[in-house]
Amino acid sequence: MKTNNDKHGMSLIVKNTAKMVMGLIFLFGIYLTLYGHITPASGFSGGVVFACVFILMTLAFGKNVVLNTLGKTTAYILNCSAALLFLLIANLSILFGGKFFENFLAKLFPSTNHDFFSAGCIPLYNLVVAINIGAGLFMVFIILAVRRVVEIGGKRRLISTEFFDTTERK
Amino acid sequence: MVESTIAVMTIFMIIAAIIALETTDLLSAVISVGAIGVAVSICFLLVGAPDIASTQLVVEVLTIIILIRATIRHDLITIDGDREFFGLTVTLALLFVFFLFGLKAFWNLPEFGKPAMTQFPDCASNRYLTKSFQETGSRNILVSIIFDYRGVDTFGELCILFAGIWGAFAIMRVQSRKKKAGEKTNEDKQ
Repeated sequence: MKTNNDKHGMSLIVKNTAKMVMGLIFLFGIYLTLYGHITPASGFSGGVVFACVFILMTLAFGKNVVLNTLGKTTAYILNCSAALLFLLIANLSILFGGKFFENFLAKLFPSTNHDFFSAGCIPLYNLVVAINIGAGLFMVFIILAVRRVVEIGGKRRLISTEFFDTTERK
Repeated sequence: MVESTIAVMTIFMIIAAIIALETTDLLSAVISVGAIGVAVSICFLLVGAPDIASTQLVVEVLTIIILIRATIRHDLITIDGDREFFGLTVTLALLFVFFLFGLKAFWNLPEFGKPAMTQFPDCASNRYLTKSFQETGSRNILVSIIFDYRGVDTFGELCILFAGIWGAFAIMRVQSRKKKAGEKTNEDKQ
């Protein structure tokens, strides 16, 4: 994380508040995801909260901090691997003698209490979906945040400001 | 009654699809694709799913607008003068027919205050309410529906989201993949 004296991003108050709040929001996202099968939540809402943490980081500290913390390449890998893992867990039940998308873990380890490790495959699905949605929303936001329309020699051009900064060039 | 109407709608859809494939005018092709969507929406109304019908209609209208705006920018002919009487009459008549189908669908819905699970004891919502905890072990009924009972539906949803995000990502990319690493990038163009 950059220091508060960095020129990019918003003012000092916003940066300090974002630093205090960010961890708590991330923790809330983890809670929504992991306890999705017991409390009213699911992987979808948890993933959106995960993406919101990084969107808040982008707004408060500027895009360079986020691109160094969770790069675009990491987001690609997380998104693709989560989508594949979802299909893999769905296919695993065929190996255990069930049908496609059958909840095989609930049959192997039956549980009728409110334990954290219960409900079979549903917590795994929650986790995978949260990673998929969070990485996907972050990718869309970062590609929108990185692009700028800049006037160069009388022409308006769309450029990517990922590897350099436009304010220094002017 | 319902089956024969669905058969007529299917024939209408096939004819519209053939027209959309064979015509040389892009605007007529797009409008034929829209007619297919409206027929699918009417079929959903007939089998008693008004929510999916309205979703289908909204998606169809949005798709037509996006297709017209995106693909046929060049040969779009603007119409001057008053509206034609024949076109207006046909539009109003089709809207009235669609309204009649919607009215029929909403009459078939269960009465307000008497949900379907009280009338039919073996319907799906009763099973979700009474047996979902024993069958899946999840206290959250919503999650047990979307990840267990209707898991394939959620999988399709995730696939649509994945494809949509990667499509948006591919369209919005500024640098093209074909350039080699040593060649000019956006940085050098300035």
